Amino acid sequence: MPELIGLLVGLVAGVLFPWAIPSQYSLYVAAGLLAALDSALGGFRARIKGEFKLDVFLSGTVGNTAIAAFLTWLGQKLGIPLYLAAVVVFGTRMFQNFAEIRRELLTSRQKRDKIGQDIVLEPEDGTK
Amino acid sequence: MKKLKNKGELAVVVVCAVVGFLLAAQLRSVKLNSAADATNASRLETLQNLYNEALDKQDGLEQQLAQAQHELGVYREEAAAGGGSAALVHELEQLSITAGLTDLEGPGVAVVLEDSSSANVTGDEADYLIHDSDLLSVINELRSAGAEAISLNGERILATSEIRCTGAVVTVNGRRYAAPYVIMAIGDANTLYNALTMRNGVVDILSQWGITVKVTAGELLLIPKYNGTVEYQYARTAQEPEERGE
Repeated sequence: MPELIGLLVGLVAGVLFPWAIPSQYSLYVAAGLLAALDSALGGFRARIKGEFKLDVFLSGTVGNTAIAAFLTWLGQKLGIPLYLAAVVVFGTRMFQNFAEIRRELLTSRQKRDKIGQDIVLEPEDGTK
Repeated sequence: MKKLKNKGELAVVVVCAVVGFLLAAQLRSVKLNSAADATNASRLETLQNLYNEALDKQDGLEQQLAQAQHELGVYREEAAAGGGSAALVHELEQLSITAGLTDLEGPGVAVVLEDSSSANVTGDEADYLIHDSDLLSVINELRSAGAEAISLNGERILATSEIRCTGAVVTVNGRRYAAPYVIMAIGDANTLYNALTMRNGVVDILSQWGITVKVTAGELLLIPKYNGTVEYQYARTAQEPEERGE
């Protein structure tokens, strides 16, 4: 839930932002946007699965964004649309992250129930 | 442990906020850019209007020129009627023909050149198109055979006329013409015809590239007058040698 609130705050800030991004930087922003989106989904997934590590998350966010921007820049210098690499990688990862989040959310109740059963079962064993 | 988890949550929230911010900014910038494209389109429209206006203006100027030339003709006639010698009138006539001031008619040949329709085997499209040099060689041949007046697609060829390749078209007297090209020449029809169609002549060579060249002799050809003005800004009549010497 707090993630959605953060997203909303960002959207409002972006709309109220007084300057428009110049068109020549549009590609960089798009690549950065993809990287950030990927990181956000990845972080969300990690938190749900309970394997979240702050340093991993932050280094991934900053590093991915930097590499995406660098690839875009290099691609423009070389005349090859290298930013497509970032688009493909982040796009694929987004689907994977979403799939994992989905599975985690859908199966978490079953797991909890099962854990509950195990906990309930144990004293019974003990009494026997 | 609890604090660390909050920190992590905060980080994710911050990244989410960044995502939202970038998303909104990017959307706005894309929208703005498409608006800029629309501006370009309206600019194109403005330029088109300006171009049309310029064309109208040119038409008006051409009319003005025609009127002025008409007046000039009237003055000439008056001058001829008003006791000018016959020799002077004759000379005036000769000079007007040379200067392209009058429409001309007489026997001669008409040459029609069309781009090659044969299959492209050399791979170079340019080999099969008519170039300014082809037109120039035809006209040169006609001149050499004694043509007295020449027109290309209705444009009178004067001593100052250019025939120049400008992309896919050829500029003559500052106007652009595309294939097929019709060259008319007034002169001795037989001589002109033979000069063009002789073996290894211009027509022969052009035909090797598959360029269609049709030469027809005619009894009465009409060659229009020159549609522009001739102005001499730098050239002037040379002075007599002894006068220059002093």
